[in-house]
Amino acid sequence: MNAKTISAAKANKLFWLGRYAERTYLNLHFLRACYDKMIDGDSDAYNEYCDNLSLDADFNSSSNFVKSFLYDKQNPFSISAELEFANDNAMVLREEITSETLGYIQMSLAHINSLAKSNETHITELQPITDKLLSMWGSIEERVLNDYALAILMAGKMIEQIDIRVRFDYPFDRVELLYERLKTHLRYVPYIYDVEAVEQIDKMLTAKEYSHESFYKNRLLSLLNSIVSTN
Amino acid sequence: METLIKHKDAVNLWMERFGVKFGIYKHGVFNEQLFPFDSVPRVISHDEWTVLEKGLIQRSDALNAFLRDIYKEKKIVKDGIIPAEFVYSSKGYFVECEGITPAKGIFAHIAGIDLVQAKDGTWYILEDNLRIPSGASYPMIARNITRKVSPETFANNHVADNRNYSELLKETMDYVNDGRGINVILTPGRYNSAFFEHSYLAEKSGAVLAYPGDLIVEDDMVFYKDISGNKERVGAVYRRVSDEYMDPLTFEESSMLGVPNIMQIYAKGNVAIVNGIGNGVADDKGIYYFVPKMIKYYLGEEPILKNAPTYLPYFEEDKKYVLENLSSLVIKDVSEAGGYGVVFGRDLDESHLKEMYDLVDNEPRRWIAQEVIDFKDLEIIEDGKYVERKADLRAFVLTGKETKVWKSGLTRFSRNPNSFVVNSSQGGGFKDTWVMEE
Repeated sequence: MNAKTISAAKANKLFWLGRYAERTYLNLHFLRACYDKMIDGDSDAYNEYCDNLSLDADFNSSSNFVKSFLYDKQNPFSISAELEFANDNAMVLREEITSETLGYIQMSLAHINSLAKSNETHITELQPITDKLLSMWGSIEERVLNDYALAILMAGKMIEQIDIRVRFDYPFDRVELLYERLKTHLRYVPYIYDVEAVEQIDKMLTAKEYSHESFYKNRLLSLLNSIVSTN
Repeated sequence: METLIKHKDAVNLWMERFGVKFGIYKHGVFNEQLFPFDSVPRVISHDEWTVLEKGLIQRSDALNAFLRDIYKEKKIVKDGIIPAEFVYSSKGYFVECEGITPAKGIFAHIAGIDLVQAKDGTWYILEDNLRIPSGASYPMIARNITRKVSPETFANNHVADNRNYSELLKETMDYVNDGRGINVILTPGRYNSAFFEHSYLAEKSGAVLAYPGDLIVEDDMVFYKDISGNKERVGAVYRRVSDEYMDPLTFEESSMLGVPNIMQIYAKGNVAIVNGIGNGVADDKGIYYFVPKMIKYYLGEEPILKNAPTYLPYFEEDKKYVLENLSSLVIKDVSEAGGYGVVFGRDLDESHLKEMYDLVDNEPRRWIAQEVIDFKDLEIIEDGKYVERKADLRAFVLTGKETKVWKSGLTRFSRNPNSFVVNSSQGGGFKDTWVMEE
């Protein structure tokens, strides 16, 4: 058997597992930062968080915001919903990622579901999820032996990292470094990415005329999110 | 074993971690749930297993001989051993399979044979499952976990290792694969009740897990399409899709689960399908009655394992007995599976007994009746206490170069103290099955 045999449907699941697992991890990080600001009385900190994610939501209070972004499965940006999405993809990839890797997502999901039941909103209770997601990536590196599968997972992870960092106004030199890493992974799977989109992002970044204005960011995000196609 | 039982919760946590679940549709809604595991194993002694193993190999060999015969020469019908009507009216018989000899002449590569043990220790065969019997993955992963949780239990008891099921499966697939293609497991998808098993067996056997749409037929061969546009030839398909849905151009035309034209390629011998198509004729509840006769007919041997005492209302004499003793028998609809269509006469009130009487009287071919076997109960732990429950055993017989019985099996038990129905779809749980080495 050719170890690199991966169908289009499987490639799509690998890509989105990479994105959702990383999205959960990063959102936990940004939620913690937001929570930290709220401790100091910045009760509107969550509005900035929502603006960065282009969410038009009104939560009335910081505690409603925290509950929604942790446990509300109807809110696609909540940790619960993102873990469900990651799990939906991971469940059908057991033979590629191994049961051990899948276990980290399953445990994260079980943890958030149990917190949701107890209505626990203390942010430190979420640390085990961060730990398990980091372990999941370690397990992937250790156990996914199919180079194509690994490259697609990593491409999903890197696109998510760049996407969120652009949204949260990280310095562009950092974004550029992440983008170079993304390209390293894409080289393994030339048939899943759009060469033109890559060339256009290359131009935008090499010109170094960075801008945190929404026009520039939206253009970059739009190109970034159209790089990979697994259809 | 006490430490294993003490760590029951740890075992279940590991099960949750590995996503050991099965799916169930209730009122049209799909739910995934953990398959309840009981730590107290069923223990089968070495001597007892030796007899079971011989009997299971004998039965599986006879069933394969029947399938080879029935889709070609039909000697068993011509010689009057099985009435033609039983074969051709079976829902599992497919005229489209006439004349087909699958790779190496094997139809039933994986037989899941359900047995129960009576209180006097006698084992009875309850039914044969030759299409897509499921369940081997559960005791396989359970053993993996229980060995981690309670190593001393296994250091002190010489239990045959059952974690080799995926190797046996691979060996079976490799034997019928012509060597020019990959092995795939074809799953209907995530929302199939046994999806955990499909994905776990793919992981452990190294087969590619294929979804509907991943396989195509071209140039008289079956291919797996990959993302780069390359096509990888497929040599063997372990299909977990029902016969009727395997090829929309041969069977159910609305099927989105199968592979268009795969039957042509199968007929030409260019791909092996595990299990073969059309096997349902041999595991039909009506044909079950004739399996001991098949063993004598094809193998010239006396059956080692017994059928449960069974009556076919199709035969006048049996019909008379069944109608007279309806209230003490168990009546089974031959077209149902999964514990459905099973009625205990003793549970029926007068009006329902009359209804059943009329059904058997008017449609005798649709029913079989069996004496109720007083199963040997097995201990399970419920709320911290030992209680006894009805249990069966699904043994797995794999046929490749040789016919082998996996040294374990799926022991399912009823969680309802008043029920004989052990199926997971009806709330049953499972145990590991220990076959002792000495």
